[in-house]
Amino acid sequence: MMTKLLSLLRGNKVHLLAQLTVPARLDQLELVGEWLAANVSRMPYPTEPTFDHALQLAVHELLVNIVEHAYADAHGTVDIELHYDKRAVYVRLVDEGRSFDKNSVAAPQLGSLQERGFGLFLVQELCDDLQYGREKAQNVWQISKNLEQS
Amino acid sequence: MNISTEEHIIRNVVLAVDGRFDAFHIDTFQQHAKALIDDLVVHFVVDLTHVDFLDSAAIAALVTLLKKARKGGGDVKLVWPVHKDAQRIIRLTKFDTVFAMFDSAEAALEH
Repeated sequence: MMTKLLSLLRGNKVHLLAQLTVPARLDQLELVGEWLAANVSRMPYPTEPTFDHALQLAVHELLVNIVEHAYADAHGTVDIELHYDKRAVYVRLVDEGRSFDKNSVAAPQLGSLQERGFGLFLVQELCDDLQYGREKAQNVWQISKNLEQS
Repeated sequence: MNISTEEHIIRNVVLAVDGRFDAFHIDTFQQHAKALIDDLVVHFVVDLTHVDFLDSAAIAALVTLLKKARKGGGDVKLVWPVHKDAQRIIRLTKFDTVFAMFDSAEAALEH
């Protein structure tokens, strides 16, 4: 369904490359990074190492956010889907934790001694689009990164 | 004539991190840092030369250390990672303007 919706929105065929469900734990971060790298390398469109790193870090920051805020001390899982078309790579993360309140995140004051608020800032800087929605008691995060940029 | 001598030795500690410096690994870094702060160390060089993956949690841990070091009258100097993508994260978040940045631990210690 996600692939069809993306195809409609983008006006061309979007392919599902891979999907993965992981426990929402920090010890899964490296595994998810390796999974992303392995699958992005299977696309018919070659990417630069900087592209792969940026995509991995963006997904990593969203996962940390889900583990530390959506689930906090609770257990849960995160479903990750990786899609692509000729123009971009799309990653969708779905969890069943607490809803995200964007007002709870302080805007980063660059160049200051602020410690928090840089996770989503980095996602926005490293990707071309970041969307969040609450659907049927689930948090749905979606990022896209254009292939022509790295 | 009386001569008195006083010797002031400033302790500088180099914390070298390698590989992934991220949310999963920061506990180890923070434990090391806390033990040193409890031992009254306030001048730190964090050597990121061999860090290939750096996230916002690692940066937060560095800022926490900087605040504690400054509170004790010290500072935290950083050594740039060799990895270009890790460098990019420091530049994007502008923490290269918050920390004194060096190309090697030796250069940081000499400064």
